[in-house]
Amino acid sequence: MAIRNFWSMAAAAVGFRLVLVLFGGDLHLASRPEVSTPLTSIRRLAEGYWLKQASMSPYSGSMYHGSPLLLLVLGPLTNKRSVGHHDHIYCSLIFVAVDFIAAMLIRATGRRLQIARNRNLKSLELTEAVSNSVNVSAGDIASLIYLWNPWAIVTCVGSCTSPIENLMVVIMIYGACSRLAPLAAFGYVMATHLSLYPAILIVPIILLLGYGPDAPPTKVFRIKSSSASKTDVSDNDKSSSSRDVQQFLWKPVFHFILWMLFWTFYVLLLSSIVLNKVGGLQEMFEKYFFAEVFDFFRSFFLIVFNMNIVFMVLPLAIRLKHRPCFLAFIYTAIVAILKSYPSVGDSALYLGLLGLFANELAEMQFTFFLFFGYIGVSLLSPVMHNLWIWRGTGNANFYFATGLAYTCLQTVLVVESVSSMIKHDRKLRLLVTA
Amino acid sequence: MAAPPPALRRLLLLLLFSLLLLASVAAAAAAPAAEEEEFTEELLLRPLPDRKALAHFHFRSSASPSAAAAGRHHHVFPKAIAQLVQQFHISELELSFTQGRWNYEQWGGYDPMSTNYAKPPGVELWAAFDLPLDEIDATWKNLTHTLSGLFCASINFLESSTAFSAPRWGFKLNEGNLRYGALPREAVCTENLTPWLKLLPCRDKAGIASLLYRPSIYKGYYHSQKLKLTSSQSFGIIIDQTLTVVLQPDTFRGQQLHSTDGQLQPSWSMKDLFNRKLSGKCRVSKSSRVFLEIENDIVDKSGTEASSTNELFVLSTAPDRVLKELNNMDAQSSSLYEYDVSNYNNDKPLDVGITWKLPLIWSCTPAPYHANRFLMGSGNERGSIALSFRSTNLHKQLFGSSNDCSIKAVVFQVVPWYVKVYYHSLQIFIDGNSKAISEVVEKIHVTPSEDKHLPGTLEMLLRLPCSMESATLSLDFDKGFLHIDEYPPDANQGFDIPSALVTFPEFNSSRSYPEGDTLFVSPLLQTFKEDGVVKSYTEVLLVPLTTPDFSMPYNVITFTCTVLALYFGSLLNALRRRIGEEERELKKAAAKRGLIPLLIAKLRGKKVDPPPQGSSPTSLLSTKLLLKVVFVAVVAVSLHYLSNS
Repeated sequence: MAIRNFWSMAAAAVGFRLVLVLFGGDLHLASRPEVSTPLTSIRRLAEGYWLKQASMSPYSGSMYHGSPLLLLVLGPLTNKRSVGHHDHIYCSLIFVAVDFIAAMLIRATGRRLQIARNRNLKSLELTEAVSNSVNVSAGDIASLIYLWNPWAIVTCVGSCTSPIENLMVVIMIYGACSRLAPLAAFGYVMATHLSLYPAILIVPIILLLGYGPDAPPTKVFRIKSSSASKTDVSDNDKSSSSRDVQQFLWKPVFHFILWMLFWTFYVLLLSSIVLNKVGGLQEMFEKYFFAEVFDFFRSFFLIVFNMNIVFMVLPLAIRLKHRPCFLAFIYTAIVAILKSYPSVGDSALYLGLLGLFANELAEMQFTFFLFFGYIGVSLLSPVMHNLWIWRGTGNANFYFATGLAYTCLQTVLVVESVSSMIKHDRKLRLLVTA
Repeated sequence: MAAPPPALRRLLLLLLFSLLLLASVAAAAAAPAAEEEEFTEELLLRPLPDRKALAHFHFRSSASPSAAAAGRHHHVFPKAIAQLVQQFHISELELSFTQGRWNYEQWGGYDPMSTNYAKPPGVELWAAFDLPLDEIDATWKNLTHTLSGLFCASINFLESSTAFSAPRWGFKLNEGNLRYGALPREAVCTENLTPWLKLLPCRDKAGIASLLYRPSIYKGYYHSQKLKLTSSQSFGIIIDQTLTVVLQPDTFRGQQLHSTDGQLQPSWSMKDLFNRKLSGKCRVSKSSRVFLEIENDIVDKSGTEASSTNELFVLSTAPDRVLKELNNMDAQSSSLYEYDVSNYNNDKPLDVGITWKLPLIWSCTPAPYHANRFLMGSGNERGSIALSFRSTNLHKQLFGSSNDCSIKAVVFQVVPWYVKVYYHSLQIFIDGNSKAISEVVEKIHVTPSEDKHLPGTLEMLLRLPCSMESATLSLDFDKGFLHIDEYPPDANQGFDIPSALVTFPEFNSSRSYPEGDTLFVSPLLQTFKEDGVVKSYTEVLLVPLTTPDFSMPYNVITFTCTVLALYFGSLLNALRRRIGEEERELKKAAAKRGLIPLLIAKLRGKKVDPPPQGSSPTSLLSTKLLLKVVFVAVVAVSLHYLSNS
């Protein structure tokens, strides 16, 4: 059941972004703390580019903390100013294109998942049982969610570099889903290079490349094949096909690792060329990776936060290894909750990916509460910020409270989606055994 | 007490004799040293156009290279300073304590006084060291602590690397051996003056320094106390201690005069300014002189060539000498009336004063541009610093009215790290029109700020067209967040950004006066004669920063940990839950009813279902339980054994 007006809706979303970029005037979104963080701010990128033009290291001072490659691509665009528009209009136009590409890749990923799902359900002979309840085109939904998500729009118009980071994550997932090892490796290396957090996505990527896209747990197939062999021993086709699904293929994983090494080398080479005159790669490692990433570990609090991301990697991987794509979604959500400088751009990414599992998560609880919670927080947070910073009538506690509520909402979303996915798998097993 | 035995008495006598001998030898040694160390005291008085009077005290102590090298004993030279120079290998140092702001429009911006002695509010310290470059930062830190102790001021705050910078050419041309720091909020009071006076041989007990009556000098409009130190192998150590005050003469008691229309300028004398008269010089000073400086415009108008009584004013005491500035250009020049204090004593004290006969309006020559700096924007998130130049058309007076020329201006500005300046956002407006940066900025050197480590330094050489009336430079900044314990006690007051310095390298304010005495050069006039590039300091900016709720950390820790626990617990719970098993357990629990429910059921007369399964699962369960118990016991015993051994 595909969405009928997909293309017109997607075009409308892109058009809406363009209208905001071209005619919205200066909305000052680039300096909102929710939109741009010190790591993704385009103004800081412009400052880094200016320092580089003045033949200084872009990392001298503590303004710029981004990748040298972004300087290469976006830097020259920050210089150009056109009358009547806000400063970084060219960058914003690039981000519109980047968002569109990301949405299309999400759609393609959704298609892959859909095909795999239909094949699996067919092999389990559950097509009627499950499809009757819900069967929507998840890819279309996910890409529309990504395109029409107000946070994605705000991030794109406010021109901070998180759309590019999001695109790299999406490329990685798409490449792994369609078993394109070079593409997946490129996405992985670039995403890790841009913000380091996506490094934990290596687990779902290897699972995706090894086992293929999401499938019901192997136990279900085993039950099915045993029951099938009980009822009909001669039916060898089905059991062999189900065994194929479980096999771990080492070849794409091996390719992925080779390509990853290649891309790492390539990215380092490019960075060293960019930073050639100002100290080379050493500068990048000292000032960008070590200073910024490991400076997070300065205080106990930040250690607690960043370590918590890593703590949940293994339990989730054990429990959800049969659904690597979903695992990737959960990882991105956890990173968005716990990273040191969160922004709405990260949330836009995982909410877009959430749409990919529309069929599986149809029976999720608290959706009403979550939906209006997100709306409430996104309305209250700017108000509290305004009261604290601009008017000076409220204090930081109120703003902190909205941040806390936002974290709670995200936590509930993650926990609920994990538990409803587990429930869904259980339902499949019950259906098979029944 | 019994008399000492004769042997001991003889010994004592011998000791006394040898002591006497030593003292005479020391005196003989000190005699040439006294010539090697010099002290001079001078005072300059000047009426200002806005009915105020300027008093500038200048004390110079110098030690010749041999005296400075000897180090152990000093005759008049302060030992603390000599040790400071030796310890830290200082080649130049300037420390100023200032209260109030020099009014460049009224008091002049193009004379030696304003270029050398107009200082930014608070403490300003710069020092150049004669050391390898890698030792300079450490030496600077030690120096700040030493000066802090020496002058009873919080100069030690300049120790932190966020407080000082190393300008290359914007402040003073150097090879990286100069450090500059400023504390705009430092309050200046008598506790800073007393240690400063201690460096003088007569303190404030005799000589010109005895005029420093605290209530009168601290009620002035501007008060700047400065110590300048130069040291070199060729001429030894020289300290110039100056105190510049702008006072309101106290003549019209009870009657405040502020309008200038047709009113007489106030007539004043030393007695009115300082509540003291000068009765003799400091005995150890080589020369002790008082100057009264009158603008040449006035002197020329008065007709008679520089005499003490004329149509415009009368001097209370006839001067010993009149010095008229040499080779004065079209710009402001002045005449000096000189008094030698050694001619006066307690019976005949000196009271230099001026009495005006006619109402008079004059103005001081301003700097080529009035430089002002201000903040733009509201709120605690971002803002802009704007630096504006207003032309005073001085170049037209000096170089004729050619409009094709351009004037150089050097801007030097240090910005603390919590004001995060975006240097790429530099915008320049000339007469209201936006100009390309490359048209105006000839040379720029930026040291970007590093969070909690380095302040940002901006050095910029501008070339402003002569025809321009006004120019504005603006820089955007974001306000940073400080750590909760970095806020000062009164956090809501805001934070000060030190003054920017604007230098006009093409304009020189030096003045030279004819020397009456060829043997002795007055240090005051010598500093006037030295190369004085026109400088002006801008205002200190007050930036309000966001203050947190200072009770917040506890809330934040507790709430955040709660949310983290919620996340961790509920996610792990969702992951490890086996719904199928739970249902089985529930069924089992329902089957294994306790004794009391059984009794209640019996009492109610209901039939109790027998357990559905046989006894075999329970026996299995018991063996499992037994195994578990054995396992735990084994673990416990082994642990115990391991911990004991």
